[in-house]
Parts: sequence; C-alpha cells; structure tokens
Amino acid sequence: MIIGLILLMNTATEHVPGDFIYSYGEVEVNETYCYVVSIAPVGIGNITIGFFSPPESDIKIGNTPPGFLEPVTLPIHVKVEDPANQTLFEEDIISPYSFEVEFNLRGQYSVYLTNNGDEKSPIPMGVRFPYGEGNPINREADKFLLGIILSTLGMSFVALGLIIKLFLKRH
Amino acid sequence: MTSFKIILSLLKAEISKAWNKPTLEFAVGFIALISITSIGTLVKIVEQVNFQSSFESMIVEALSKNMSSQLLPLTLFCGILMSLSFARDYEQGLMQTLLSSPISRSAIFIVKFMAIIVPLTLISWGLILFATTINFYSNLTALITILQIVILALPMIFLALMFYGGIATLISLTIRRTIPSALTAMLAGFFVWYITTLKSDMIGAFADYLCLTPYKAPQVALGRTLGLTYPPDTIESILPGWGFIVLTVIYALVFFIPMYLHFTRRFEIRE
Repeated sequence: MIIGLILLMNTATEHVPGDFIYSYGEVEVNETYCYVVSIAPVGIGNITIGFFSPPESDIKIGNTPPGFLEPVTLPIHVKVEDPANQTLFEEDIISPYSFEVEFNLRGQYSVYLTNNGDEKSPIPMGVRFPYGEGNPINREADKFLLGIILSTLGMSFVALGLIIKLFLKRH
Repeated sequence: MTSFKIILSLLKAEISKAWNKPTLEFAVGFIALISITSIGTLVKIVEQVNFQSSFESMIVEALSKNMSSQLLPLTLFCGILMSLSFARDYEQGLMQTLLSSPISRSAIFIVKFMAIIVPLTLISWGLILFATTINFYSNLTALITILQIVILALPMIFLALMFYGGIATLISLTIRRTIPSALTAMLAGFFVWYITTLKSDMIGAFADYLCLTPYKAPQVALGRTLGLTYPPDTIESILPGWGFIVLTVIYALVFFIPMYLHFTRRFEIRE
C-alpha cells in the first residue's frame, strides 16, 4: 500500500518535460537513418523532423551563427514504429515537419528517416510535449495504473486484516 | 545442529525486535519515496546503432543516482536501528541475559549486526530494482539487462552499510543508552555525508580527494564497475576501479573488526 501510494502520488504529479531534439551527423541521399525513442507511455506527443530548436522557440534565427538553428528543408520519407513493431506513421513529408504520435507503450519507438533530397544533410529529430502547468495528459499511464493496483490491493489487505482482527477479538 | 537452531531463533527474534512496527513500514515508505522520485520520466532519443549501449548507460545513470540519493537516509536508519539492537539491550538488561546464554558472543554480535544490515540492504536494493524495472522494462531482454546491472549494486550497498553499521555499533557499545546512541550515530552518519558536499572553494585541493571518503567510495566503485565515465584527470578516473572496491571493503571492515573483537573478547567485563 505504501509503495502503491508513493507511486501513485509520483506519477500523478510528474509529467514528461518539454522538448528533446537530437541530430547525429549527416544522412546521405536515399540513405535511411533510424532514431530510437525510449519513452514511457505518456500519451500524445509531437515528433518534429528537421527542427534544430523548438518550432515556437524565442531563439532569433538571425542572431545565431549561420545555419546553426535554421530548420532543415528536405523531402523525407518518415516511418514510425511502436515497440510492438506496428507502424504508427508512414508518409513522404517535406521537413521541417511535425506530427502527433500517441505513446501508449513503454519501450522503444523506431523512427526511420530516408533522405529523398538531392544532397546529404543532417536530419534532426525531436519529441515535444506541451509545457508545464500541470498537464495531466502526459503522465506515465502504466506506473499510474500500477500505483492504483498496489494501493487498492494494499488497502484491501489492511481492511481485511482489521476486519479479521476485530471479528476474532469479539469471538 | 542445535546451536544452529538457537542462532536461527536468535536471528528471527532480533529481526522481529528491530524491525517491529512501524520501523519496517517507515523504512520501506521512506526509501521507496526516494527511489521512485529519484528516477524521472523516461524520454531519450538515441541512434539505433548505439541503442544497446545507450540503454545500458541510461540504466547505470539511474541506478547511480538512485543509490546516491538513498545512502544518506540509509546511514540514518542504520544508526537508529543499531542503537535499538545494541544500546537498548544494554539499557534494558537484555544483553546480560543474552551473554549468560549458551550462545557464543561471536554469534550474538554477528546476528545482531546482520539482523540490521541485511534487511536494510535488501529493502534498499529491492526498491532500487523495483524503481529501475518499472522505469526501463519493455521486454524480457530489457529485464535481463536491468537485472545484470542492478545486481552489482547489492554488494556495494551491503559494504557501505557495513561501514555505517560499524560506526553505530562503536557508538552503541560506548554510550549504551538508546536515545543518545541513536542521535550520535545519526550525527556521525550525517557528518560523513556532509564532508562530501564541501566544495574546493571551502577546502581547497582536498575536495579532489572526497571521492575516497566512505560515503563516495562505494558509489564510485559501483560507477567504475558499471563503466560510468568520470571527468578526466580526477581521482575517480585515475584510480583503477578495483582500487575503489578495495577501499570500500576496507571501510566496511574498519569498524566492524575492532567492534567484533571488543565484543567477543569481553573487554566490557574488564572495564
């Protein structure tokens, strides 16, 4: 019951934070590059392709070194698979591009990016979640469920123990 | 066989006495709170080619952070429980009864010591395993990886607690009063932790050597065993991993052996 309540309290208050953008080197023409997103089941999030900084960030592109944070414009074939190898998204897009994905399972989501452009280019990829203010959507669903199960089981055992104790005392 | 049964009965009695309500519930609750809250929500983007090594380093980081967060409360618990085991028995006169029983002093000391250290180690390690598993579990392969990494924390937690148990035993056997012993042991544990928080602007070059303290050495030993990288040119990276393991073992025995000898050679009777 103690562990269940702590887990429940923790998952009810902790939400997945902000933005995660990564870029590893350059992708050759017609080459497919794969990112793996290790993630908890936190519900709906956005996958961003081609952004080096959050799409609505306050960073002024003109004030940064040339090309440093500028979005990459490139035709890309995108395929997203969930941990059960089910395809969640598969489309030809022109980056920068952002789309919603529902993260319902804990594990590794594979994002395959094929460079369909004319020259090699970095393809940054990111995951975005709504910022702060206690967004109750993006909490870890499996931990929340486990917290409820453990708390309920614990409370049931405590109640059962109390009832048995009281009953045995009276008889 | 009979003496083994007696020792087993003593162990059971010691465990039930020290871990009586609400001590066990409080320890589990407090350590669970630290364990669960020390690991944040899992979100990490990595290259597929480096996935396995990145996944392992995520678990190692989480484990290291979890162990680091747990050590201070564990030292405080260790101080309180050792005082309840040794000092309270002297205070209530139970120790004299125990010592007049046919059980050897050696067995009494080891049973009383281990009745605190072993359950505390198992609670701490079990909750680290629980918190790591619920955070990183996705399939059987991930579970095996988690177990392979987290199992290494078990001896390190045990050795770290042996050190604090040794200090608390020294205090308990010296003071022999429950409350003053518990408070002094907690203060000693807090002091061992506090010196590791000092920065180089306060203690100068000594700050570089804080990784060799009893509080940090087991953490670095675990980190080095698991392949955690430390900044270059620091003691953590210069000293070999086994050096930190040896240091942790020395710390574990530095108070335990003298206290064992003190207890088994009846020094208190000569006093």
